[in-house]
Amino acid sequence: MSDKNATIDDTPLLSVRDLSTVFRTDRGPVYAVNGVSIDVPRGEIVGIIGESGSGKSQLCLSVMRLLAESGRVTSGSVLLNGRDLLCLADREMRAVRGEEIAMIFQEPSVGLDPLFTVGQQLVETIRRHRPQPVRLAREHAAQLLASVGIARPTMILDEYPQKLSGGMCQRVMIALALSCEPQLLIADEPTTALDVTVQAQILDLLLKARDDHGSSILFVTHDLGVIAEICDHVAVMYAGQIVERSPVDQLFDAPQHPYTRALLRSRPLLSDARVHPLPTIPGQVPRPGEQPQGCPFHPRCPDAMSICHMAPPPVHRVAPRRDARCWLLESEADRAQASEGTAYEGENNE
Amino acid sequence: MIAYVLRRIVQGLIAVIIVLSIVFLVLNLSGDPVRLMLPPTASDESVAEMRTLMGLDRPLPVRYVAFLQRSAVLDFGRSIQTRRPAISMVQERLPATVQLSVTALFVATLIGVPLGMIAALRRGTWVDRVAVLTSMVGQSTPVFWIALLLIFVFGVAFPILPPSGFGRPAHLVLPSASIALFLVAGITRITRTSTIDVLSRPFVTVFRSRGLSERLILGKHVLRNAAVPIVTEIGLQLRFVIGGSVVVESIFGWPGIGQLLTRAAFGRDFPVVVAAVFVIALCIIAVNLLLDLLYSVIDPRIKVWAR
Amino acid sequence: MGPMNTHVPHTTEPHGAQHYLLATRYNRSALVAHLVLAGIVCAALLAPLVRGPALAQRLSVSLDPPALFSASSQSGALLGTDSLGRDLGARLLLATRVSLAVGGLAVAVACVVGTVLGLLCGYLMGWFDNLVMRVVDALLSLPFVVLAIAIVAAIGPGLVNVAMVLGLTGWITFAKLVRGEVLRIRQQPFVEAARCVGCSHLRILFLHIAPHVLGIVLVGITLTFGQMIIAEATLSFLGLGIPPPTPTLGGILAGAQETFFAAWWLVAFPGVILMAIVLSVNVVGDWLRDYFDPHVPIPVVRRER
Repeated sequence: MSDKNATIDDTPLLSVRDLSTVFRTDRGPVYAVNGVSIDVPRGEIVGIIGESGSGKSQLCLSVMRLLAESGRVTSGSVLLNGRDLLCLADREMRAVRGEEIAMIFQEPSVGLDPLFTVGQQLVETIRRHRPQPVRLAREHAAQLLASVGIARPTMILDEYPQKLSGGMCQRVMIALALSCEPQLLIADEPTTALDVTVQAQILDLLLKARDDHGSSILFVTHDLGVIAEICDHVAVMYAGQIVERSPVDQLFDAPQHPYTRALLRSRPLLSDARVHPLPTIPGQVPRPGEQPQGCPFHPRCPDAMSICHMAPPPVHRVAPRRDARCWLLESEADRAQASEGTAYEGENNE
Repeated sequence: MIAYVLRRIVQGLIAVIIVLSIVFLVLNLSGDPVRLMLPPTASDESVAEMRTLMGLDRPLPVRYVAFLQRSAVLDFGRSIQTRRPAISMVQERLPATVQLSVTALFVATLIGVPLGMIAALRRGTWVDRVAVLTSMVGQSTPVFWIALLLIFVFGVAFPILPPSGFGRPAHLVLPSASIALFLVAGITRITRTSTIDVLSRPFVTVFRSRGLSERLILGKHVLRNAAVPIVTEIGLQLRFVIGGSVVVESIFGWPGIGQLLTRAAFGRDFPVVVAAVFVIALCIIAVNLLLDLLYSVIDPRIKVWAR
Repeated sequence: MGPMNTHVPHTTEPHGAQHYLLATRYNRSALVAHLVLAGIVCAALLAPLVRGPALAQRLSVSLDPPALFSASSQSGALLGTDSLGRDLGARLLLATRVSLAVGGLAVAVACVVGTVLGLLCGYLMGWFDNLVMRVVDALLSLPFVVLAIAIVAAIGPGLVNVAMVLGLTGWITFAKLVRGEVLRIRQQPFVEAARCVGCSHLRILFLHIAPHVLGIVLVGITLTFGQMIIAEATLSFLGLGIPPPTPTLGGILAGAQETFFAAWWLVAFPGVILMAIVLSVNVVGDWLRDYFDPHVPIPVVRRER
């Protein structure tokens, strides 16, 4: 990336600031997303990695404003080209969806309406954003299917979704997502439900979309291999928070947060010829709504200190575009100060 | 598919034969129909004469076969009261009943489906609660009482509609509304449940993520996906529509099959009772066959004939 | 009772009737429905107490408005009088009793016939099942009321006749429910086990399978009870049910048609009672269905809001 480009397009395409999302449940409010900030620069692929239940999907849905009825964004902003999506009227937001941001989902086979043919659904979406005669839209749809590597597009157009394989469905979904050449593509575990061979093809398609249209991609997964393969930048999410953000190579070379280190250790390596059990991370992701006090990771953290039980760690800047939330990174003095602060607060409260 | 339709028609005919058999058995095993038909003061000779006239002196199985044979050519005998062929009396009254039932079903669907969808969309709000409560109350209210209330309100208290009669469209309003109010309850309920189910499916979120309008998503995709249970419900309700029209016709003086059946039952006019039961069963079976075929139009995955 | 008995440890989950009562307490509409139903049944049980003068005809006070709402009442009858000057309240009590009795009798007949046929169909399958299911299909193509009218035309009206007619047309609900349940249960290992140790078919059917269909039968009872009551009222309304002078809700409503314009109470009260019975039975039925459905969570403690 040249400096010139950087000065022209310095503002990121998508900038999520301090976003929090709450769900109403029988057991009281549950914070699925808790003060998340993340940037997606133009033309970059930013990965979000985390275990199931860490709030990755709810973060994506919050950005799209497609949360289930019981969910609500309580604070923060979602800036797309400097415009806050959370402030848009429903009607304006609908125009953004599909046109400027498109989303790909985890389960491709249930993402299409089983009662309409693939063609009918493609034509419907194309005409929503680019009003044109059905015949033209159909031609466009066939081209799109061909561009995602479907061999006989006109035949597939007349098929019902349930006749297609999972990989084929995901191709159709990507074709749909790309139909209006969106600036941002949100991919929520697009390869999780697919066979490994198909996974690689789908990833290639996404890379191609970035190279051809210059789309940025926010890529959610729990697969480190996928992250290494296609992402430029990565954010590690745990219990609704982002615990570490880093360029991809630096993350793999020198993880800062104990959780990231544990994740990396639990990954099988081909170079490691000997067969031995993979280390696992003990314990489970805390259930939303049952967040421990202090750092959410401390019950499972091998390096937990007393301060970790008391106060949430601040964001520590390690390098440009690189930071982590962990007390280990803070100086002894800062920890002591924070410890005193919480102890003082604790006394006051009682 | 043609094989399927043929098989269903045969099944339907078997059902009609069973219905006729049940009616035949009931009429013949429950005592002497001649004694029931004639006044108690009738002499033994006239009873015997009547019996021979009706062929009742022959043994039961012979009569049963003869009965089925005559039924096959739609000959149910002549009305005891009017001396006219029973089947033509029923035929004459068929259009009025069809008009009433179709109107009621149409109106009920037109109200019930949107109401159910709104309740599903506004789940948990007062709109939903009112809809659920109304459908619960509606399903628990006898049709004839609704009819009486409607007559009282619109025929007596605010006389803007004719409380009885036949011919003008205005005459249709109260009878069909009585049946429709009951139907709306069931249709609203099933639409609500079915819509809630469809709304939870992932493709709805996917469609929203593509920026499609709510009207398109709900009106086209959700409705069609929710439609199969709704059509099933309408098929089941059909019995209640006809059952309701039997009662409502008597109240509003609507010259349909129901009124005829009730009068015939009063007068122990068995040929007419049998003919009316036959025609009603036939209609319901035919409509249910059509609804079955409608499933595969709504949902391409359903191939009823492949089962 | 010693102090030991009054102590209920926290860890014990309530069972049986206690569990049912606890669960019902926290479902407001089910609770109300149970109470309404209990009230109506109690009233019907007390109905025989109102014999005598309250039922006498007093033409001098015919169509007297309800004393409950109108100061100009002469008879003092709380719910007014009918065209023959009889106390509507007293007649309604008796009519409710008749309704419940006919409904109960009809459901009993339907339940026994339908459950036995359903058990046999589900267990034997084959031609017997086929035959019974054909009959069920045939009966399903006829409205309840139409079939009942046809049969009443043959055997004549009357309390027992109507109950029998309704029972013999209403068994299909039970047959279908029980058959489906038996088909499901017979797949389970314990039936296989019973067969392996050499139990006879009758023993398997009635000792091993039958107890498991009780829940669904109970649901069936509440599903059909409301239908039966409406059907009886409809038949009586049409004059094909229980003939006067026995008071029935349908019969009172039929009589009210003639004096519609003058006496609203004759239409309003019987209908409201009818609706209250059927509505609460239906609510209880829905609740029972949820209660016996293992997929629906039933809280026995109040939910936090």
